[in-house]
Amino acid sequence: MVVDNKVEAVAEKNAKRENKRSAGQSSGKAAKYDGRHPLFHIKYFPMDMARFVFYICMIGYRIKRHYLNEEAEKKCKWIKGGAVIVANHTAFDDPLYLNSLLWYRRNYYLAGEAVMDQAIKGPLLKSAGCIRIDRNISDINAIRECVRVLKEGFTLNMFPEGGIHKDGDVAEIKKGAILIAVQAGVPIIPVYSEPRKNWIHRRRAVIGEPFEPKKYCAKKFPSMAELNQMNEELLTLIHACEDKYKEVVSEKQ
Amino acid sequence: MIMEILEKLKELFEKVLEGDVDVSKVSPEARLVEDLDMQSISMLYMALAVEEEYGVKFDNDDFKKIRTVGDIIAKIEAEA
Repeated sequence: MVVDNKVEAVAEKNAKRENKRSAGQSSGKAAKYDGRHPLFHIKYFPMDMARFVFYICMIGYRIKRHYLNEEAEKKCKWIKGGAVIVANHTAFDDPLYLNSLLWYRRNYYLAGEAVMDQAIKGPLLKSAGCIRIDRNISDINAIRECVRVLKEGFTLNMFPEGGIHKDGDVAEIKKGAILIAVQAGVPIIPVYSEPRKNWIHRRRAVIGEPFEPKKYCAKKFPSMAELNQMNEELLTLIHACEDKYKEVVSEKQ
Repeated sequence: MIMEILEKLKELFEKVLEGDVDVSKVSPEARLVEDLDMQSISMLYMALAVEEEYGVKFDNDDFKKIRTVGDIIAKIEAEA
């Protein structure tokens, strides 16, 4: 009888704790980070140190954020949970700028084998959150690693153009980001970042509305044709962000 | 056994790689890149779908070895 009472008491306590947690999340009081780990944690010491150092280095050049519309502002002001951040690639230091945009999150990046296989740079980048991808083969291990970090609730920043385009025009994007987001079941957040004009210039970035592949197709393995359609949709969202950027710039002038 | 797997693979290809691969060309001798015109993203997607369907696990080393549909069937036969 006493044991039964104790079990009931523990169950009640757990239920209360669960209710409290879910109430906190639904009321928008959730933390600015993924809610799983604090902003700084010993487990992620190298990554957090890198984020901190990069942010301090970039403090004068941190990105000016704009949103595509009110909906995008509401949903992406504080990005929570796993998400793929897709941005255009205009300069080699874009990851640092994106890091200043998402300073409150632990961001993972994909880095090519040429950099990641270097003796000192490779391990340093890995500890700072870079995932090695071999661009000469279909690197399934890298895809699996990306899906894992996303499922754990981190953000993955990708530049799906497949190279640097200094003029800032996004002509086409590769399907890797969509494939990873579909497999991990997370949203994709399109970002358009301004091409650099000079070294002392604070760049702007426009954050668009999250693209939910799940809403588009509920299957775990949509057909390639459906993936192509989703990719087109994502490209349209990036173009919308680009148009908004042009609008913002013309307003300022 | 091989024919059974081949038939199932054809169904899987049709479902997953619709519009990207001509399923009528799928045979054990068909080369993935040269004959089926598969790009790296299609190969990745196919591998993930096969993993899900048969419970096998592809590795980067497998991608260096796998050239034909027959190689995929052999992998499934060995591991599933």
